[in-house]
Amino acid sequence: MPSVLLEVGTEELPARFVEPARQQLEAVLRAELEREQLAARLVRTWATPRRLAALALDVPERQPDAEREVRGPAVHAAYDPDGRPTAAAIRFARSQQVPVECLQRRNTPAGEYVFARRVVPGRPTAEVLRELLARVVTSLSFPKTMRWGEHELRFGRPIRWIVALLDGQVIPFQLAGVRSGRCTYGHRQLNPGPQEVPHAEAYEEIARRAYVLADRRRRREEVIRQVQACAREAGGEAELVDQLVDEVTDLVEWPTAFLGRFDPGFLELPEPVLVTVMRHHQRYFPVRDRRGHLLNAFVGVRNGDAEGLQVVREGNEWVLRARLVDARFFYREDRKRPLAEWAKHLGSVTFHEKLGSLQEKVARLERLCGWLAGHVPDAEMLVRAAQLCKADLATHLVGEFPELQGVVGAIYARLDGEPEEVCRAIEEHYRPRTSGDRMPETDLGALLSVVDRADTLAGFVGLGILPTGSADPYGLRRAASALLDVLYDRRKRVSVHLPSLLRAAVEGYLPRLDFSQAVHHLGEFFTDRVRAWLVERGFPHDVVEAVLGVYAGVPDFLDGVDRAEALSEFRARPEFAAAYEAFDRAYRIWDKRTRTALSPLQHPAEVALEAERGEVEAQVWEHVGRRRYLDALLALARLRPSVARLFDEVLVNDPDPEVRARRHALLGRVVDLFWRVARVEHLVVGGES
Amino acid sequence: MRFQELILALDQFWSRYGCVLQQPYDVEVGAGTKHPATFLRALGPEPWRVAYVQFSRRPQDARYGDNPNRLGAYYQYQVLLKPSPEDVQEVYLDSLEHLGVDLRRHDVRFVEDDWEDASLGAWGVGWEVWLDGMEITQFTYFQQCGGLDCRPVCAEITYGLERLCMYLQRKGSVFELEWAPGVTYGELRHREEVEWSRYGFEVADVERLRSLFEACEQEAVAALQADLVLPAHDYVLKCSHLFNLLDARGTLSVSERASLIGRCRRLARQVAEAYVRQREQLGFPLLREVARA
Repeated sequence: MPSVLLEVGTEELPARFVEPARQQLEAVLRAELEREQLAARLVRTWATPRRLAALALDVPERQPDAEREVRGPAVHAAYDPDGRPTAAAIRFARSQQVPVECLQRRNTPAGEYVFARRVVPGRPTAEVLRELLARVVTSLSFPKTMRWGEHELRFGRPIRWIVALLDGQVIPFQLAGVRSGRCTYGHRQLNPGPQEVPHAEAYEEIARRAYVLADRRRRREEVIRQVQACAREAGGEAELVDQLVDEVTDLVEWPTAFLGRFDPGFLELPEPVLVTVMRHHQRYFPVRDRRGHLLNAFVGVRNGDAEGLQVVREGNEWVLRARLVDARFFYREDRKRPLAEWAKHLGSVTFHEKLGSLQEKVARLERLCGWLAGHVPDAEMLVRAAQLCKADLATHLVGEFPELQGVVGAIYARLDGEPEEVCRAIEEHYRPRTSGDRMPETDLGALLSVVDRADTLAGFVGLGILPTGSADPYGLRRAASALLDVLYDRRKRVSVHLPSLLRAAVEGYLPRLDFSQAVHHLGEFFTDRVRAWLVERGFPHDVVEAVLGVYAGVPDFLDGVDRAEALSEFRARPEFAAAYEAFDRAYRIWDKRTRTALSPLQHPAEVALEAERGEVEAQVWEHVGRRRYLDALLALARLRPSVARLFDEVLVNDPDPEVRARRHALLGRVVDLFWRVARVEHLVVGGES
Repeated sequence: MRFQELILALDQFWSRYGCVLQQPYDVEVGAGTKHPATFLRALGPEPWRVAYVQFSRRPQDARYGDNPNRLGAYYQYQVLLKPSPEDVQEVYLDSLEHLGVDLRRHDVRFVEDDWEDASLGAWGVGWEVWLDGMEITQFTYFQQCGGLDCRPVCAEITYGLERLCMYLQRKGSVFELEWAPGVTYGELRHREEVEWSRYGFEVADVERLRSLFEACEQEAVAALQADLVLPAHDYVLKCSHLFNLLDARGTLSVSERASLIGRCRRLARQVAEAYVRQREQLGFPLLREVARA
């Protein structure tokens, strides 16, 4: 069975596009072939910055024939009273290319009709591929697309050639002015081509001979192998961060690693600075000795072979040197004064024009940290960390390497002899930077992180700057979820009452903000954010609504998590049915307005229910006070028999309005008791969903 | 290769390729893109190939001439090819060979780097080109300019002349570059860096700059009302430069910054639209040139 080769040659695709595009190509080609009933036994794919290629092995020579049935006229219109075909039947048969006597009669819901059955011969694979392959290419998507020249097609980067073969036969089609053919192009410098591909299955070997290591997995392994070998040459180990390995793999078609060195004098620079310059700016792998200390060496990966490698090495060393000279210049400028001095420059840095400068922000953080002082033993350190945490934003080094905010501050604080706890808090307070990033490791870092975000959110949300749809220019949702993550992560050690914290944060902005309006906005915003957080953690929607219904304004987040956990667990318990029944019967009939009884209870069932309720209430109060919500729920389950008895023995909606009001008030108190734990009416139970 | 020889060599290469060699523009700009030979000619359907050097001012990057790699103003070598040729990357690589870079012995990479100039309503996608790890060129396919879709798309190639020359001469400081025999870059430009740094960071009067911005904005509007595209463009450039000076002074709030950029962009868009209208009325003369050739 024949094989199909498709190669799309492009200008250099961004490294981050390459692997996702390869995966898409594989899936799309497979799906398209299946859709045309030309499924392949196996699809192999290759990807480099300059090409995406796929080989489908063993596809059928042609599509299978298909039998198709077409409905024609109704029987009464197709045959005359003598049973002879009418003109309509003859026309239909002709249009379907079947003899009129082969028409079949069949009953359908719409009546009896005639049908034509005919065999549609499958098309040859080569013919199907002409459209199919073009469709495969145009259906690839990229994070960002472009147009080029005079063409309207959008793609990741301009398409420069296309190879399309069925075994040895070219499948002709055209895209953006490029005609498919059998010529591929090799490595830009080592063997630019064109190279003829005589047969689909010869592709990989021909690419390899043209210095293109097209198999991404092999290229990645090759990068790792060579980089480690170079690092060992320097007597160390390379730091093989996955992200960098992936990027380097997709920046080259033929990797050759080389070892470079720099003046050991630069090791005076803080390690994160050296690593950032090497890794982020130059895409080099830093090299460390056995104890983990950086060596004055790096490993780069060149797109090419060993020819002129010495020139490449010297060039890269020269470039790195220039970068490090720059960094050292900034570092030395920064170190002319202590970090605390830099904090004084924050007055001229705007936080937000309606919310003042960064200096004002720092003052608010100090205040908030003071407010939190009861939560940690070393409150003075927390306040000190707050004073210094933004200072590095005024330094040259962070101006140059914004990704090092916090890290540089911690390094400078350490050099200034600040306590280690303070230094760590400065560094950790930006964590988690992204979803899934590391959490602050120390209590002080966690609290500062929470306080910083609470202040930011109180300010922006308090002003009414809220994210809408996908637009969240200030990253407020991200800040909120980071805040909740940290609170949750620390809950066993530090329990912060979110509504009070935010209220205190808003107070810090007075009189810039209108207090009640800000608190109102924060209530809505945080209800949404806590809801999203709980749902993301896997709590069912109805449980989340039942919990959130308990709070007016900003939810007490940690308390809400406890309630959600208890409620989820309780729902799986046998006692749940009893508790729910008690609540549900009371809730359904209760008229929601009547809460106070006008007359004393009389009927024994009333008295019994109230007595039971009183006992359960005492327990619920105690459990809720200690946030033992599961115990509270178990206690509530006890109410079922007395609720049931009431319904059995009396008519709640008694004709006498006074009696009716009394019973409603009684049931209202039962509902209220459940509401101490959750708004149980939001739960979706049994077949009600 | 001396600095002036580098320029000569690029002129020679791109002139042979068929570019019009234009001269630097005489209004302060932050990049060669703002020269009308790029910003305006990139618009509309007419084919165009041009190359020129542009002195580009970046007040915020100024470092009093103390930093060996940072300048408040520098020279760009700008090439615009419209429509973007199918072999534009190969042509670009040929230009490096022409400068004496043996590509077989060096490492050249095209690393993703998209470009945007919000104050011009312009953006494109492309790469920075690395030579042995050194960024020497910005390579961009314009997608929009003045808020208008570019049809056809042009390729913009911007060589950072100082960077490239430092690499070729292996100099650790830009000021040590040999510009002409016996004359360094520092001798020609160091004093300028010092003075403009002091001016930009210490002396520039913010209120006066603000009122200059407004005056230039009004002139741009007046010129547009009289359908004078080029004078209007000059005043937009002046606005944009004044914005850069204000920005470098570090006193703009986030929203004021956004508002000034927005005002520049609106004007740039009007200039772009007026330019396309004007060329259309002329019957897109360069399209006819091509048809005749």
